[in-house]
Amino acid sequence: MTQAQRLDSGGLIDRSKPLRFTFDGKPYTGYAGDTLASALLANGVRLLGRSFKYHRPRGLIAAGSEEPNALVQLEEGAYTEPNTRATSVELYDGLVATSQNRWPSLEFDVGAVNSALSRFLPAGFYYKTFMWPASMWMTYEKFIRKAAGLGVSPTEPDPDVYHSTYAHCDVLVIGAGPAGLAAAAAAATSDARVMLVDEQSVPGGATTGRTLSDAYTQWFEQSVSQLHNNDNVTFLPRTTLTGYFDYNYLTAVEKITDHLGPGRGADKPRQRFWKIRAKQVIIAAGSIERPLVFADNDRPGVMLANAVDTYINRYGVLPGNDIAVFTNNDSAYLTALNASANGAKVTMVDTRKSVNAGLTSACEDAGIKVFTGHAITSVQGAKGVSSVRIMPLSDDSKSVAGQAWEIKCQIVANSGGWTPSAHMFSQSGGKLRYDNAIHGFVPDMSKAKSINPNVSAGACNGSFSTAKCLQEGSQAGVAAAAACGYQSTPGALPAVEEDGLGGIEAMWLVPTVHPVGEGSAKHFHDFQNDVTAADIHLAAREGFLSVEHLKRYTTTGMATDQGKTSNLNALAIMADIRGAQIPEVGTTTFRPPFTPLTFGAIGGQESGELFIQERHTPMHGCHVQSGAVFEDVGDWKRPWYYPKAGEDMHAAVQRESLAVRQSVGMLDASTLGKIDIQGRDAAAFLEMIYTNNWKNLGVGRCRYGLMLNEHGMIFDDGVTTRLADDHFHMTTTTGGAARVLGWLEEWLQTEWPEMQVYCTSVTEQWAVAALNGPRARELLQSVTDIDCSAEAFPFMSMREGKVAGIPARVFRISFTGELAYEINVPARYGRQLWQALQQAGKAHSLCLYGTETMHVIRAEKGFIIVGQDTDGTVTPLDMDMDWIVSKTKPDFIGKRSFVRSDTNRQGRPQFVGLLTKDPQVVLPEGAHIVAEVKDAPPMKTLGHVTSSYMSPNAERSIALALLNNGLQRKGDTVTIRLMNGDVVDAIVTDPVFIDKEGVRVRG
Amino acid sequence: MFIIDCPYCGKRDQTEFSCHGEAHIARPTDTQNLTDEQWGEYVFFRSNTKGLHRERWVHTHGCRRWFNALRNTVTDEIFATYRVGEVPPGAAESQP
Amino acid sequence: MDNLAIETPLNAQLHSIEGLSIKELPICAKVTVRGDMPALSAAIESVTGLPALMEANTCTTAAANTLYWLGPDERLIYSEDPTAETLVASLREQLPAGQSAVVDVSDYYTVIQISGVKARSVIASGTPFDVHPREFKPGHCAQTRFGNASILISCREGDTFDIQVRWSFAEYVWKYLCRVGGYV
Repeated sequence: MTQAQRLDSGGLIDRSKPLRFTFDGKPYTGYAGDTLASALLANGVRLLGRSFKYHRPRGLIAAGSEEPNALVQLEEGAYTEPNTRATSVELYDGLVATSQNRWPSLEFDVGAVNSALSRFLPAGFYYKTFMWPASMWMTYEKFIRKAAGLGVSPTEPDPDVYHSTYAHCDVLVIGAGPAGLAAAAAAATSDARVMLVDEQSVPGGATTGRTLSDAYTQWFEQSVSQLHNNDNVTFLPRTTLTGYFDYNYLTAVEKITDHLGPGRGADKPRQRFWKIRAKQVIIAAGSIERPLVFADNDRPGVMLANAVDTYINRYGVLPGNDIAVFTNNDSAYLTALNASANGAKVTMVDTRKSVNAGLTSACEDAGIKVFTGHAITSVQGAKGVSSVRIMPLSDDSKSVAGQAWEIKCQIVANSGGWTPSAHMFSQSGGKLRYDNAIHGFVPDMSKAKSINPNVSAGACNGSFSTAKCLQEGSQAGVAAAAACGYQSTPGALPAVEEDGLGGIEAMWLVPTVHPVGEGSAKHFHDFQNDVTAADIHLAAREGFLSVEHLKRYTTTGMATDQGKTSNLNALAIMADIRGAQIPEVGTTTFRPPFTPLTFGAIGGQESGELFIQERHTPMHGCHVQSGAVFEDVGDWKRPWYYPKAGEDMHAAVQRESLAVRQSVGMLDASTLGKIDIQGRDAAAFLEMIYTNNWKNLGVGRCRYGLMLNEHGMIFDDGVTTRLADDHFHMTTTTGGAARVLGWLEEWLQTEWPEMQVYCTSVTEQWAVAALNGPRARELLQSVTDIDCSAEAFPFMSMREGKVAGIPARVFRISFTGELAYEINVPARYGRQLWQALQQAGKAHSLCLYGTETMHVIRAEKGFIIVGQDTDGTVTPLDMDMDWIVSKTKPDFIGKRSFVRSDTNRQGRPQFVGLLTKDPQVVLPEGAHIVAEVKDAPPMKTLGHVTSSYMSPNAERSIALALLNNGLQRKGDTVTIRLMNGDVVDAIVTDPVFIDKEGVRVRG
Repeated sequence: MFIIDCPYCGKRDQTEFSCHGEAHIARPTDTQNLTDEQWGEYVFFRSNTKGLHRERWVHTHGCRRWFNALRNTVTDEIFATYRVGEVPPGAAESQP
Repeated sequence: MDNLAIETPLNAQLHSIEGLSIKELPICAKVTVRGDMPALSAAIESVTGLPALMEANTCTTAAANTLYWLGPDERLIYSEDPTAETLVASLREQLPAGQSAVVDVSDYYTVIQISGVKARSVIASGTPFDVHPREFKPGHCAQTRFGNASILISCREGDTFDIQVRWSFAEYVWKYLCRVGGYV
């Protein structure tokens, strides 16, 4: 077939540039400038897909992004994309598209049996049928999803790259039709920063391909070129405004390489996601024609009238040689005349009894037969319209009677009026008002949201004539620039003929020979979700009268097209049933996105290694060289363990754990949070923040501290050192660093602003190597000028000096219970310090160890990890740590909560050790201690395991747990029931498994 | 997505800030002599206002200063931002 | 110390494509000063030669020193010295004891300089802060967000910007800038 419906001339396509493409495997040719839809139509293809629920044959309805039917699967493999609207896909050479929602083929679809069974598939069918029993839903769902699927997601990683960016402007104009262009052109005559976005590849909006007047053409070309050449203007074609959020924050997707075809964008991003902050927004989004709701109005070939115009004007395609135009308003007469002028045999069917004589006589002059006061009562041709039957309407237009006529046609161009595209105004929080003159909702500026300054201009404001669009747009552009403090000098607007035809007479549901819902004919209003007028009647009968109920019960307007063509018809039909006015039924709120968008675009460049930052310490390279396996701790990559050849994790951790207690181990502790605290009230401040005493801490001495929140629950812990009377160095957990700094600042700034205390994060200022083990002293002493003897450098103190020639602060503190030093040097020397210690350590059997060994070793000593052994619901008393809670301080954060009834009650979870009866059994962390073992949950839980390891130093498994009333249960045997059903007995013990007297740390 | 007028840095994107709930809840000074009910009121209870709400914000990615905002929780309109210690705008008429 | 090699998180990398140059600047002394600024201003000026009472979101340079406004009670001083020892010592000497904080943050941060006609677009890709030449000019600085990182950005001249970022975020920001450089 060689583009049988292509006109010889006209349109914005390039007939010298043929493009090949396939649809359902069949090859076709189109031209540069086509969309997939226009190219298919040029080739006479009317059947494009099967509908969602009834699997009815469907074709194109529209020519723009409102298209509900023509959803196709674009491309294959990694590039495949489901549910693309054929009307929005620009044709490129080699394009591959397939139809959706059909099996085994589009022509013969098994699911079409649903259509025959449709009387058993009414609205709410799924809700009613698959409700009971609830346990079966999982089974039903699989089949329902299989039957209902629209397209297939790719299974490979996305080969494209995407870019997202922020943008700021004074005036953002949405839509580059006459109103938007006039607005942008006017605003751009000032110094305002202007952005103009339009979803089409070329500006012009509804006028694209039309010739209005020479003056208009000249103005248009000049405006477009001036906007392109103005440095203050960002003009983005192929860019869809997807969302309008508060404080004039709007998002848009720019399609950069989609129109070139997959893989042809070189290294350019496929799409760009714009996050725009605009001082003023001008919405010039145009309007959407709505279909008439008549019997079997979903047959392929039934289209919107303006779509027929667009295919003729913009793409040089005459959708059919015989066209019936069906309308309730004047605008479709332009379509009839246009189609006729381009060679179609046209019949006009108008539901109105009297029509502007100018229009009817123009039709007669063109040889178009006009039937006024008539309606289409049926459409013949399952896979493509072959004819329609029309009948006269009764006096009240509620029924049909009299002579029926059969009209042969391939296309039914229909118009039920125009709906202003108020999506963006609605998304901005504005409310709509019903305009009886146009039978549509328009923005109610008295109900706009003040934090989102915007104005609607042109057709989206209910002003349909080009002249009015230009005028409103230009005024809006001047006003918006002025609101930003800029003076515009807009040029004169071109004269254009009056083209905003109206004369609409409401006809929400076209009668046929049977009452709606009876007979086999279906009156569709929502094509994408297959919802009919009969479904609305059913909803009304069952009491779903409000728009929100109607929508959810029938699913009208809930498909990916968000009911762009269907919402108003649904409301009006419901209003008619209820005998109410349309505004009483209400209007749905439009929500983002305006059209579907890719996740790739939203993510932009923040994918892969930019998805979440990987934070590295200065020694990271050394760990990589040493073959470390890394663990994510917060955003940090920390060495987890350092396997030697042939070792698995268990073997490596056992080896490292033994080495720390037998010789010396080295851990990269740089990630611990560090906060520099200065000011004369610093000690007093710490007294409030920590549970223990700080005023009496000597300079150069360190102390462990526990922080609580006001609930009395443990929140963070760490060692803080007094560097000078009014100067402290605090450490926090790795994950808690930012939270603790925020916490300190919050108290200082909001509660105690009179305190002279200043906190500064210095986490990355210092690289930290921790030496732990009986040989730590000899190793350190071999590389430092600090006297490391026990007398000169006691436990819990800090010394400054040089380590390996590097200026260092050395803290003698321990998280292992071993003799230990944490060596802090400026980050710039971190790697050198590490390497120097590694080198010197050879003589002292130094072993590198990671976070897993750190966990094992500290558990052997019963040292808690905040967030693992605690969970935000335990107090220091629950953790058997009342030794760290001052009894003498009058107040500290959380203190008062200790005497709350709940923190005081018997039976609270308390921190204990667990030793399994079988020393080889390592309990899973999270396992529950149960009161009584049963065959299956639920079982009464007495607590749970928080930490559990195989300890090489204890030569058996060890575990820590929170157990109700645990401190009173030491020596008891408890039962742990595992997920796999196994039951383990364990003895409740003290949580310290090694060196209970704490001799080693003080060695 | 709000624009928030930091009293120190000026108007900035909401993603630079964090919100920390209701403002002007002073920590009781004499904590040890409070009844459980009084202490619970301070620790657990907030007004959960529909309408004008005074709330605390911190300019996390900016100057790291805490400040207060007067926001309508229905429309998200922020009528004013003010420094800690300053009297909230319109406090005289709207103080409960 | 003289024989110690200084390392930085990006080891002075350079990325250069048409219209864009990104490089890590050599390490310099960076010191945070906090306290009641009107009271501290004279002392800061006597050490740095720069007035500490300055407009929000600005920075100012004299000789080897640059002073950044970070907050009502917070300033950041850059000095061309590689270490901050001298600067910290002289500030501590001049400032009233107990009523201020002087903290060496030389290694806490590194500085990535980005320049070229694409620079503003690259920066706009990651930050919601408006860096349009009308809004963000030489002498302006801002603490804001770039991707997931907190940054201090300052406009040196025309299309040249310094981005100060924490050591552990440097690699992330670097990769981000380089990747986006190919997209704008």
